[in-house]
Amino acid sequence: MVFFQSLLTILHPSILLVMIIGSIGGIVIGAMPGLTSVMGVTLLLPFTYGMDATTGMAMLLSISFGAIYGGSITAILIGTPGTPASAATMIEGRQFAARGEGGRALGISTVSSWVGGTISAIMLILIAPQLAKLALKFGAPEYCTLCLFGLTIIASISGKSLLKGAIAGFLGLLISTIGIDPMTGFSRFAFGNINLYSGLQTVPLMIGLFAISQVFVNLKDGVEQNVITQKVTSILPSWSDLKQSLPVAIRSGFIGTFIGIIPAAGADIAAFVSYDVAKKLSKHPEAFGTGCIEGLAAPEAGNNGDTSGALVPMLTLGVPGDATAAVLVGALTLHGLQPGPTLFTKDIVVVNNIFASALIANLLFLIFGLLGIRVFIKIIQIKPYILTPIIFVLCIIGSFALRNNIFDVGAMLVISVIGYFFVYLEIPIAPIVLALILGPMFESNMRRSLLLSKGSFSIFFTRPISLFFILLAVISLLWPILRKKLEKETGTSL
Amino acid sequence: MKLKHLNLIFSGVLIVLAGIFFFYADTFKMLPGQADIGPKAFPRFVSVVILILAILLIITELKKNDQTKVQLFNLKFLIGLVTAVLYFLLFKTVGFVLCSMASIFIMEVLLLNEPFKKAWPLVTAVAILAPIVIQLIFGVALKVPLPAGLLSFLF
Repeated sequence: MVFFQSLLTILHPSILLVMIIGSIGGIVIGAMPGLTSVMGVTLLLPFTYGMDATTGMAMLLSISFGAIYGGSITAILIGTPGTPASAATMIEGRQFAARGEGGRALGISTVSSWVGGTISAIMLILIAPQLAKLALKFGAPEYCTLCLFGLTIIASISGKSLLKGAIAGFLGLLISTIGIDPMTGFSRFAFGNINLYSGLQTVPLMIGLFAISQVFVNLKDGVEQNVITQKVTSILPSWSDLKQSLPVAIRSGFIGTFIGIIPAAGADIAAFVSYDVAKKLSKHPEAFGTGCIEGLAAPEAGNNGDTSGALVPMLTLGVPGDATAAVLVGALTLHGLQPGPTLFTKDIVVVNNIFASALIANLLFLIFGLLGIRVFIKIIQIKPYILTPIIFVLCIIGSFALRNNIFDVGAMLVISVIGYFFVYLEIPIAPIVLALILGPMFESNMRRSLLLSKGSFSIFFTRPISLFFILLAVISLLWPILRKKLEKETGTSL
Repeated sequence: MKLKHLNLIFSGVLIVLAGIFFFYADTFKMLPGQADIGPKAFPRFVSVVILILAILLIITELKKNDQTKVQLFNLKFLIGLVTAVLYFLLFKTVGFVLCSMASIFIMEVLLLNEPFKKAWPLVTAVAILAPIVIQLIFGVALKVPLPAGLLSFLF
């Protein structure tokens, strides 16, 4: 009953309008190569400063869901993934386009994205409250070891090199120690600068790392003109295509949700795993790579399956499921809401509204995807020199408007240059942002635990849930080695 | 420049950074009778790990024979960077709208993929209109106090 009230709240014209704008904006951002979903959410975050929490979150979710779907448009029609999450879609998608069946592929990807996203949203609604109840029993040691688990995952999955992923993660941890000490309240690493007393603001940092650094990369390397020669008129999928793609989409939706729930594993991984599983379970795996329906439906349902899945640990534990969720933690905090189990007791209305908007946001990109594809194709072919400068200005506003402080703009610019160098040094950026959120949580809960145990580390090993997370952390650290061994023994790639 | 050399320079920067954070942590105040590990421990632990990772990066880079070359800078990037820095310095005095018009124009020209002769009407129109629209959305509708600067008689 309460949930239906939330659904009505979300369907109020003022919120729905904001969501429609978000969804369309998200699809466009996702479809533009070089603009990612997390960048879109960061870039448009400033628009939500003045909104209430419900409207703001509804808009951000619409952007993020839309962007993950939008990436498939370019992956199929141009053969370049619009977002990293649609790289797996490209494998089959461009084969369809080469056969002149771009429209058919878009139809399958649109519906599969919606199926995956909706399964994920439903799972969020079912799982999150239960997990929040469980999380209420968590004490400092459990939170500390949970963060440890999240941090190990960041290191083991991100980027091309394990070492560089770890460096990025630890740099994020180091930056997170600037500011007020969580226990004593004294300032740390302010280096005499009053603006650093309360630490670096996460939002300008994220804007610098995700958005402006890309502006600089674009300036240096130039932006290509997207050219779509294929005529796409209608993308409504046929009944036989639907019948073939639905079972795969449903399964991949669950896989995506599960991967989303794991802290720090994002939509790109969800897409590749879904594709792999679909190939392994398929009756005709040899068709994969030649433009087959299942191979297209799986990654699309998988990456959208991740979207709401990543919200599960974010809302219930305050631990982001992926980089976009880390930005959403920032957004919630801006509205005075602290993600975690207490959110479900103190601000249950907002939580229900977020649930309802997750469902609606998925529906919106389905509608706009199916009906407005011709418009999106036109927008994607915009002159490449127009968008980047406007993004630059929006980034400046985003970091300034947070607390009307020019220092934040400066900090954002410095960080963006660092982010720019990282692109060429092949150092992944997402671990930095995830560590920024996890770092303070890890430290304060570790110190609180040690206060409880009078300095003994045994407290982390004697409590079952805490021990469980430690074991998970160890497994995830050993995973790269384990995987190599398993691959050798079984002769397959995992 | 070779990626290998860049990685080595980066490791050096990391070591210096870790050193600064490690030793600066000595200045932190402790509460009298504080029972936990204190505000120093975590940053110091992180600095030590960064130091170790930096050394590991040096070792792996020296071992492998990587000839990949990376171009870090070019003129367009540097002009863009100078534009961004000037934007930051002049933001308050010149104001949001004028700063944005200038920087959008410069960046558009940097990114042009067709002759300026052909593109200038669109380039100019975007440079003039986009900041005004953004000012109307943020400054007027969302009430963000964007600096008016030289145009303070207008906003």
